[in-house]
Amino acid sequence: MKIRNKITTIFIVQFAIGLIAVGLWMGHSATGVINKNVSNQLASVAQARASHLNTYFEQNIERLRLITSRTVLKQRIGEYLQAPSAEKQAVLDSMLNDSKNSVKEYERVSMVGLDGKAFASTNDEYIGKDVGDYDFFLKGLETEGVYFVDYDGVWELFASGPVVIDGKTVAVGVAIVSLDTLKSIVQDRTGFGKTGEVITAFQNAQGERVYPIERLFENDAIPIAQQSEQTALPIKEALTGQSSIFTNVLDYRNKSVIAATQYVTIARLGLVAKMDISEALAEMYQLEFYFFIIGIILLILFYFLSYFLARSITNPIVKLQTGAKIVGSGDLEYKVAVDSKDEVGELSREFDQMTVQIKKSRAEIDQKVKKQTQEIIAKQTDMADQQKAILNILEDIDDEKRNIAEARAKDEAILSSIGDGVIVADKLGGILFINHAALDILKLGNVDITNKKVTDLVEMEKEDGTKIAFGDRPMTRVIENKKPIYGMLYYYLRSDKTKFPASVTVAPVYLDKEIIGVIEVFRDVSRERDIDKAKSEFVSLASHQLRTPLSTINWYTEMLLNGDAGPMNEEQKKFLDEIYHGNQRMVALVSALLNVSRLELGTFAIEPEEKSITEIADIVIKELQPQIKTKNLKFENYYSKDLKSMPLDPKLTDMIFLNLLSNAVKYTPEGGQVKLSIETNRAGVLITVIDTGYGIPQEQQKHIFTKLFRTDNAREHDADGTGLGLYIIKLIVDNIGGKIWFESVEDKGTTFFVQIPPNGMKQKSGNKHLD
Amino acid sequence: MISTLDKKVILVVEDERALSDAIKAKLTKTGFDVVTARAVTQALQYLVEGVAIDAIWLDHYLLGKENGLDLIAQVKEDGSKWKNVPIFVVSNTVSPEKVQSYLRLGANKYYTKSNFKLEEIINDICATLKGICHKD
Repeated sequence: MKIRNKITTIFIVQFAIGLIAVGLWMGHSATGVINKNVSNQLASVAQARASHLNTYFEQNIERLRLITSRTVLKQRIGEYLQAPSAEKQAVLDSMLNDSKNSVKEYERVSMVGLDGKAFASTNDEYIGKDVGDYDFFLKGLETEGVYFVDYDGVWELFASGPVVIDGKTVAVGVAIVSLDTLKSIVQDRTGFGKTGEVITAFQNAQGERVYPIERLFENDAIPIAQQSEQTALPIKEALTGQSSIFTNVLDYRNKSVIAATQYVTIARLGLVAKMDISEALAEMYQLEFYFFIIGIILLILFYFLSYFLARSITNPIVKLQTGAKIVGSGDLEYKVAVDSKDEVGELSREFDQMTVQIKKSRAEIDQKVKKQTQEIIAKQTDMADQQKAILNILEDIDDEKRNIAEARAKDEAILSSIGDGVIVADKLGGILFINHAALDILKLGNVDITNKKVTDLVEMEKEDGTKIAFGDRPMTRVIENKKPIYGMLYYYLRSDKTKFPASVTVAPVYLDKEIIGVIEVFRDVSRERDIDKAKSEFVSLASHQLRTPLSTINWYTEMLLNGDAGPMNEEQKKFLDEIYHGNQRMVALVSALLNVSRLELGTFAIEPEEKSITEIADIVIKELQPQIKTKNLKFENYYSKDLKSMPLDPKLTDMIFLNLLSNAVKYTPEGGQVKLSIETNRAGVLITVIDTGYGIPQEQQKHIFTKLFRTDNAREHDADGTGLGLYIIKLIVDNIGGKIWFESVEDKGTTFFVQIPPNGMKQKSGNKHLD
Repeated sequence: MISTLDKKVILVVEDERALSDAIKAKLTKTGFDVVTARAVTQALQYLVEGVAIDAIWLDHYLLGKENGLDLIAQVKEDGSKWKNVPIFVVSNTVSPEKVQSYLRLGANKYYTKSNFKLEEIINDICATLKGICHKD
């Protein structure tokens, strides 16, 4: 908002507030004054009317007294009362007529006896009428008075007084007074406006309010039965004899009025002079309207006034602002030159002076800059020489950098393109690199790895669902033990909390012989495990199915050979022997294949127990005794004395001994030698099986551990072999972390060595067992 | 000769007809009376009907849903009348878990079918029952 507008607005708002306050105050006090004036006026009217009425009623009483005190009349009344007669009554009636005619307002004049019955009247119908119960009679026995009488909705004004003869009341004179004069007094509305009026009321014998004179708004009057306590309050007040002023009260129409009350004592008549407030205040409303119009005009005038005032204040400021803008944009020659003697003029003069100062100091700076530039140019020449030297060094560094970048790019390309997940982390587990495969496998999307730890991104679990803490993770263990971990099975949690089994390999990363981090490579093996399970189920079923017909052949051949189906001749027996033998080979082959399939999966269980290795060896030797004896072999065994029991899987150990020893026995000619030695060495326990057999041909030695491979000479000497025995041993030994090797010379003999680790076999869970 | 009264009765539970026949022939020849069944319900029927069985020759896989383990579990359960009947399990299903299960349930011995001669198994039965067996 501009200052000018601000000033204008402030002025206008202040003025308007003042104007409204004055208007409100004026309205309030005017209302008060007018109300008071009207009230006073009404009070004086009420008082005037009341006294007028009193005077009028007194006149009436006086007139009646003139009649009742007439000597002639009293004489005639006395005569009549002593001896009533029609003649005397006629005389009285005519006398009363004369009296009535002399008073214009009297409508009827009667004489009432002490018994309450009229005995003479200007109206014959009235003679004999009993008025003994009425006030005008009862009170008229004593003194003169005026009385309003209500005859079932028709009311009349009576004047009455006693007729006294010799100090004794002998009759009461009663006159009915016309209401015309009364009406003209009450209904006089001179100077009363539209709604001003005087109303009168008396209370009848039943205590009800009766209005003898018609009211101005008789049609709007609320019937007494329906009136509330607040309705017609002034007249009620008047009837109690009070003279009061009401500035705001409800009349018989329930309209708000200003009213004044009086009591007309002689006739016991309540009187109210009243006027509608709306009419009383009409003038005031008019005044308010004028005031409003004048206020608006004043406001508009004032707006222009304040606008010009504001402009005179802000114009120099605007000029100063424009000047500052021009100077600010660079024209230091410009002068603001506001001439006024106020603060703005002062400011403008200061500003112009400041511009001059700036101009001066700028000239000085230009001078200095010029000088310094020259110095810089001089220095620059020196630096150019130094720069050249540095550039040479930088070029060398650049080359080096490029080499490193290339190597890095190559590494990253290799890592990124690997199908397995790869995570490279520093010693504290902070992620340095994660390849696409890892992000995909873990469903991490395009996660930002900056400042993230491996534990932030990837959770690991054991097979049973327990979380692996950072300290137990393969990564941490590799950093602590400085040894890589290969192909361990762990469960990884994807970002959506689903998990999958993974084969994990972790290797330390060295820089200057110090571990600076680790590289973790993992592969989702869930599919492999499914296939593995399917395969093992297949193998198990297949072996069962294969064995059943083999058993049939076995047992029937056995029975035939036993002569259970009748005696066999030698040739038949020989043939059956071949069948039986061939079948036994088949059984062995099925068992071996089953084992191989399990071993190859690498998921068979190793369940070590504390066992003496020599005891297992002895059982195998005992099993082989028949063959050893048949071939007349010389068998020796040597066990070193320091051998202790150790964790060994009995089945696997048994298999190692059985395969090695049965091979030695099988492939050693009759009368040959077989020797078994078990001894401790630095690498654990060494098993050595030496034979003086056919040996392994040099050129076939490299195939000796291959599946289903049999050397030529082995096949020549023994047709029964499966070609799986050494393959199975090799698989077992590899799995327990041992070693197997051999030395052999054809036709001289073979020596097999099996190295068992010092701590024996380690527990390995798996769902496969070997036969 | 061995009188019929002295003869021991073997219940052979085997689903393969050929094998069952061979076993029955060999056992009969050795001097046993033989009843055969191919399913667990059938085998239990013999026992329930009161046939005095001295030993059971049991295969693992049988006809029907139930296998040898179901039979041995019922025969050897607590309070069974036949708790003391020796059971010889002869099967080609050789996983160590199953072997362990059979032995735990009370089998006398477990034989891999294809690795044993009939004669070897029957000799064991003879020894267990202290029966007099024919030796050829």
